[in-house]
Amino acid sequence: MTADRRDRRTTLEEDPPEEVHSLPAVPEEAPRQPAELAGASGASGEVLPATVESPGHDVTESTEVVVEETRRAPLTVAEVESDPDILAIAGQTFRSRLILGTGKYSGNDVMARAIRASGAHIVTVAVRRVDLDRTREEGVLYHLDPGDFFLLANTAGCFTADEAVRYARLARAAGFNEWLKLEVIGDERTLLPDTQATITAAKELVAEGFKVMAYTNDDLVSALRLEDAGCVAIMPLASPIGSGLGVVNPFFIREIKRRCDVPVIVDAGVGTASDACIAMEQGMDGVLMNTAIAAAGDPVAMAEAMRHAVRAGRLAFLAGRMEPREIAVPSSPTRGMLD
Amino acid sequence: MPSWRRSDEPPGESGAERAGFGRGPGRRETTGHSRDTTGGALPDQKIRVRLNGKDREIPAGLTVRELLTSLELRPELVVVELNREILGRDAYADLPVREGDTLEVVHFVGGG
Repeated sequence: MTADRRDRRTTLEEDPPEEVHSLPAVPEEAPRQPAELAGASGASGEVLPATVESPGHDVTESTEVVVEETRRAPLTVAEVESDPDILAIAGQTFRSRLILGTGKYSGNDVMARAIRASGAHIVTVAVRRVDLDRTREEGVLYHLDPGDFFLLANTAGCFTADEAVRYARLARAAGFNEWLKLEVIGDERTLLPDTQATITAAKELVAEGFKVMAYTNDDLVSALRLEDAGCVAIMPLASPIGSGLGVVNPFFIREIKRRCDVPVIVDAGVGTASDACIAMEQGMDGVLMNTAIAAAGDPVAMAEAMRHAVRAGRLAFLAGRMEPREIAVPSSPTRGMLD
Repeated sequence: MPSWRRSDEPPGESGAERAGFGRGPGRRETTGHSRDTTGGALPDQKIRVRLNGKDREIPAGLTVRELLTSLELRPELVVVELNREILGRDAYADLPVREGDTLEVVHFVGGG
């Protein structure tokens, strides 16, 4: 890690949009090389990702416009950068910057409808013992087609690095993908992360080939350590899990975004649509939420609100907001008033 | 170690271990307890195993896959840890469940 990265962008100015979501030139595991795509521009329906289980599109360097007969055709870099909804993490792209948890819903049907209303692509799931006393239990996967959604397993409920590593390995054995939302909790009442244990677990899991997205707090130093450990995304909380308090420390999540090269996604504490919008206005790459939707009076309606909020916040950020000031500046001309 | 078992190193004491499970006699293959090596088991013979944190009696001679189906579970939707080793799914049909084994059967659930 160079001194450059530590020191850059230390002013309070917002970054120009083209820097904020720069992508690696070529992903590590591209199923399609540019040479293959060059011949495919006339062929329709042939360009498909290598695995159905990972519907995130791989970014290529090709400047060919690929005929998108299927919604899973790979995207060009230009397309990714021009679409405000597309989220890129570790060379893979996702349709939405809104990531949803699947817990706490009153039923699987409302969960599935809310997730669809939200437009989310990535959804998180937890790993737990099967309840052997309840036969024919309908698991969450009955309602979420792994072909439509990207399943991101988490290590929710883990309080030590060893536990988190164990749960991560179990999740990966389920066979969907190598991605993981790492959570190691340090305090039961606040569910705040144990950042030290998270960093330890992250190093181990990165070494085992996981793509680790790490839940952390708003401490810049922890965020930088997690990035150094090889995490593919940093996920600072807005406020405690399930609290609905919104973004309580915009200053430091902005600084985390300025200083990290990997995507920064706010995770935990969003309560209503404006919270999600505010998070995105800080320049965040995405927002993860669960309780805000699951515990809303009408989860499906709130999911739709969140879809708009995340998009609105992203557009506002890209548009470059006006400078706030503490004196009034008239909006209408001061000349031409009558005597 | 047979090639069809994943060789996960035990990660050391975890919260789950502190809670007391996983300490059954079958935890490590190399401990000295005796194993039933007879090929054919009598139909009514039972063995004791620890399954998802509870001691249970199950019929002797079942494979992991047979145990899962007897519990009305779909093998493709669960992950099995046998004596702290995560099993690959292709091993379920071949692996016998033996006296004293500790099994964890997990799956994905809704979570944030």
